[in-house]
Order: sequence, then C-alpha cells, then structure tokens
Amino acid sequence: MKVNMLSDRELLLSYLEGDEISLEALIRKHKQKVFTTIYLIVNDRYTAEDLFQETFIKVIQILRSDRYKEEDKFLPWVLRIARNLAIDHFRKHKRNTMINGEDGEEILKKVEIADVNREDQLMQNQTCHQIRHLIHLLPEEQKTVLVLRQYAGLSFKEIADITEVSINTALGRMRYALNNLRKMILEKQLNLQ
Amino acid sequence: MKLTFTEQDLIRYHYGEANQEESQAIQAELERNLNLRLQFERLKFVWDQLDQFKIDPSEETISSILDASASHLSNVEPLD
Repeated sequence: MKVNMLSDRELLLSYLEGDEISLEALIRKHKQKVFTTIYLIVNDRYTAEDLFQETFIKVIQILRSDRYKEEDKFLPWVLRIARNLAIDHFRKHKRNTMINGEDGEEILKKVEIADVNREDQLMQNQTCHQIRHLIHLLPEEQKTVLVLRQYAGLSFKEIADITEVSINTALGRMRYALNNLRKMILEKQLNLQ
Repeated sequence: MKLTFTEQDLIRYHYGEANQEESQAIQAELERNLNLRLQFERLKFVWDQLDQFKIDPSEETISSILDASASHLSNVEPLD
C-alpha cells in the first residue's frame, strides 16, 4: 500500500518500526498547516524554518522515547508543540526588541520594512503576501485568536484556556478579527483572487 | 431551539463547533432567512481569503529533519 493512503496512526506505527519513508509522508502531509501557523506567529520566514525543524525534531524525540499517547490526534499534537515553540520565541523576541521612544519606533519600522522586503523575495504568491500583511495589522489579541483557530485548528475552548479568557471573549475577538479584515480588504480594494 | 442566531453562532458553525442540533437549526435558518445568509456570506468572504494563505517550508528544512531522524537522532538521548 502506498504511504499516502495510510492514516496518521499507521504511518506513526510504521515509522516506529523503522520506516523513514513514513516520517517523510507524515511531514509532507501536515507541513503546510504547521508551517503556516508558525510563520504567522513569528512573522519571519527564516525563524519559521528553524522552528518547523525544531518542532519535528521534538516530535521524533518524543516518539522515540515512547511518550506519544495514541489518544492524542497527531496533527493537533504537532500543532501544539509548534505553537508553544513559536509563542516562546515570539515572547523572547518581543522582549529583546522592546525599544521605547520615537527613535526606537523608527528603528523598529525600518527593521520591519527590511524584513517585509526580504519576505517579498521569498514569497512568490502575492495574494499570500497581502493576506499575511492584513493579518499582522490586526490588534494582537484578535490576531492570536485568528491564527490559532484558522490555521492551528484549535477549538475556541482551547484558545480560551491558552489566552486565559472566556470562550465568549475568544469568539468575540474572532468576530472582530473577521470584520476588521473584511473592512481592510474592502477599504484597500485589494485584488485578492 | 432558538431561531435567531448571532455572528458568533455562525462562526462556531463554520468551524464545526456547534452541536448537531444547533448546526441543523442554523442550516435550516440559513436557507430561509436572507439576512442571516447575507451575514454568513460576509464572513465567508473573509474565510475564503484566509484559506488562500498557505505556505510551505523549504525542501532543505524537510531534508534536514529527515537526515536528523535517519542519522543523528538514533544516537541522541530521547527526551526525559
């Protein structure tokens, strides 16, 4: 049977029996969701590549130490690891780049612009670039809920637990995020295909 | 079952977080209530845009993970 016809559970068992092809199949199957989630949290392609690698190295280590619980679904479990690593990085990065005052703000702006330009070269799909840009214009609280629900696939209950708010608040933030995005798309008359 | 639904109800419905009974009620209401349908379409417009944002890691990154699994990790202590 071809590996791409196997379930996550079958691929995991096969990998643990020594079949490296099964690991590759698992990574390729889920790479987009995992990478997009990391990328939207850290907002830097190179860092996202590092954290993606770190995520799967951790996955492999846990699998090999026989600590994976089968009742955990594979993708949500991987996303949880990815999200935690990305959020840890984001927190550290945020602390390190905390600059006050007008000059500092200017420096940050320049750094951000340079970063966006570098991303432009890497990101071939213009629509992706526009959407990513709009997502990052959202207030942090709204962006967090949007990324965790839309891309990481967490439930509102899980998001509420992580962000220490009620489910209703998480849902309210999602509603604001969606409405704000809609307004921005229409105001900027973006030609999103 | 209530017959008026909020945007938050529609959001939970879209993400599959409404229970079966609620989903069926929302579905039925969407079919007969134009205002609710328009509200849902406005949200769907954004979801459709968001769905387009998908990016992949580089092949080099995937290769590095596979190399690590095949070689280095077999010599590395598992996590405590």
